[in-house]
Amino acid sequence: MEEQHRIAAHALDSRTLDMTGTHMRNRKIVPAVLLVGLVSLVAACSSSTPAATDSAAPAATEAPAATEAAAPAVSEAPVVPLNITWLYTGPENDGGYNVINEVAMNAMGTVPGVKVNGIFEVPYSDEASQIVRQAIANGAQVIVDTTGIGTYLTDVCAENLDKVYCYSGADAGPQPANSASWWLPDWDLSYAAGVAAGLMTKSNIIGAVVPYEIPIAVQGINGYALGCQSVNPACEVKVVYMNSYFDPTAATKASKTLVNAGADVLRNLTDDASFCKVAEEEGVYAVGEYNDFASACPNSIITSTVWDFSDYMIEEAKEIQAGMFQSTGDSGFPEITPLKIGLGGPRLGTFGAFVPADVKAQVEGIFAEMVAGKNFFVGPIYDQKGKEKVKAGVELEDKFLFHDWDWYVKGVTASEG
Amino acid sequence: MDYQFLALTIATAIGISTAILVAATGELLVEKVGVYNIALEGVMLVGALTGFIAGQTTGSWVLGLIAGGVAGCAFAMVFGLITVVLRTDMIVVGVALILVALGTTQTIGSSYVAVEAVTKIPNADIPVLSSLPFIGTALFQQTWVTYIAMALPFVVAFILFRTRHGLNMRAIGENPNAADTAGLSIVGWRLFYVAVGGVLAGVGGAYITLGIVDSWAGNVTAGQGWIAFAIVFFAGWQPLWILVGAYFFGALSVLGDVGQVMGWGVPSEAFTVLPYVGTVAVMMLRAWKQKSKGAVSWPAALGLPFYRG
Repeated sequence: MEEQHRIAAHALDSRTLDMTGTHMRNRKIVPAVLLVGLVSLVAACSSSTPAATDSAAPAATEAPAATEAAAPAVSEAPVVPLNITWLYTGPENDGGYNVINEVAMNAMGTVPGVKVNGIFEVPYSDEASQIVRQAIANGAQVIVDTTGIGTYLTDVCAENLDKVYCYSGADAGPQPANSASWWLPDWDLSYAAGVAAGLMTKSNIIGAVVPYEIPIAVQGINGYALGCQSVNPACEVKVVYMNSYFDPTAATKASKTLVNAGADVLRNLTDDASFCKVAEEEGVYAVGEYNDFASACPNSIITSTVWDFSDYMIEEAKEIQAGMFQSTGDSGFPEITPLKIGLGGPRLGTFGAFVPADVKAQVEGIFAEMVAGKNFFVGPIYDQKGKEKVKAGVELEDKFLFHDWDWYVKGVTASEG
Repeated sequence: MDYQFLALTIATAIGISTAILVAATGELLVEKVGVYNIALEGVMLVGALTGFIAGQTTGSWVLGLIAGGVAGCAFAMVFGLITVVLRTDMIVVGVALILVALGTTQTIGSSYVAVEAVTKIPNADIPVLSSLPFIGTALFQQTWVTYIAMALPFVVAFILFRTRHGLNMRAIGENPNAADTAGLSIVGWRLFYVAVGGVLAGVGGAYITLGIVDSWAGNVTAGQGWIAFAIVFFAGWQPLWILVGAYFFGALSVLGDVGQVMGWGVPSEAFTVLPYVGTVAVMMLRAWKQKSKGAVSWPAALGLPFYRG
């Protein structure tokens, strides 16, 4: 019963969060926001201390109807209220990465009792921890991080074991008892994108605009290159690192330079649609990542590799409501949840109307094999200098693909990783 | 690096520098009369959003640019009224206005994010010249706005150094009391040029959304206003050096991408930081030179509120 009061109090507080969430974009206003946060933190703590034991949270939500005859009507309702806050890098509706996360967030919001809200422009710094603390103070019971702030989130979650559940996308680090992580095999998606590019390129040069030199980028580029070379051995990949996830001007500039250098298929690991807009303008092709870019760029998008977390997120929201939350534990990668690709999960997007039927069939065929579990990352694989790094017949393991791959394959031109 | 790639690279650098060039030229005019509009980034953002919305609504990029200019002017006038008329601190007001612009444009513009542009500024190849080898590709396959932007510093140089009005402008920036005694309206002309600078910054911002990225996104200017602001210092308040500065910055930022595509093995971060290091270096050089000469290159009354007497 106490728990129900706590949740109700938090539900009230979450309205304040909605307001401060929009102000969060202005970093200079943060001190003021933090003050507000601090005040509500004090308020939240004092109101929730009685119920704040480790086991109380799941227990109270597990059996709402059973024995509590004396409980008020609100606790007998089968709908468990749950406030979920999502953290985003970059602005709302950025036309790419945030869009697909907003889709998943809103899907979560369709679960009865669940209320969602988003905080945008979360920086990769200590400030992120402050934002998380403030969100918790404002009543967030679940935090979902789409930005990859890693320990800036998990450290705060570990301090608030009894107050909050946390999800961090693709975080291979150890997770506290109230936190979970998931990953998706982006190397497979990138490989499929590479096959599509390799079948359509005429110059045999394909380009990629990439945010930072990080593991997910290296495997994405390598998958793209190997996929392309599997159907087109002469295929070269040129990469421009932008040093930002979201900067349309820089992405436009980088895309133009790639086209100037002869690339006739562009791919984004950055967030927005600039890459395919340049492709439209310059009359070259593009393969989208994260979002389905076919409607934004109908004349250039061969297909997109769409990330879709909706099913996973809906499932997790229901499990938390049922008191069945499971941490992915502190051993890191081996235990974090893999998302199944294919229907309802990460998948191929709409194919452009200009794509020949046999190209479409071939890309879809390879994707179907991936869904069925085939590993396309098999030696021999050579590095940029042509040295054999993976012996013939050796399969690369998920853990390596996920975050240990720190060299580029043959045919990739990129600044030193 | 083959010639065609070099020519295309120069063309890209010139194209993406247009917004900065226009905004910096406007800021030069403002600073010549003794005001620095540090809110330039905010003015560009306001112009970028207004221009994009006007373009979407009317379907005309010309009207979009005009709307961007008008909105930039209006926003700059807020700065002008607070600093020139009420004589408050330009830095504090400017930074505050940037934050106002950032938050306001993000809120108002949220429904325009990731919306496909219905109009965009087309390239205008100049007949004959654009078919010249190398130079044609590098210089003469740009938009009309870019050609006009290239001419703008020359026009400003002519006005500043070859007309009576230009002399008056410089007097207002160098010695407002003397100019005041000569019967010039200091506050009036300062406000006028804050407005002109606002128009140009607004048009520059609108060029980003209508001519470069063809879309609106929160904080789409991403620091270009600051770069334009820095270029005025970099250029030593000389209009033709604004042209050099803007293209130098544009070239450096494109060079970062070129280096990666060509596999020069230079860390990508190095080129990202280079323009800023360049500005600091040039300003230090200038300061050192001026110290030995005993003269300054900036308008002597720059940043000082005007009090009669």
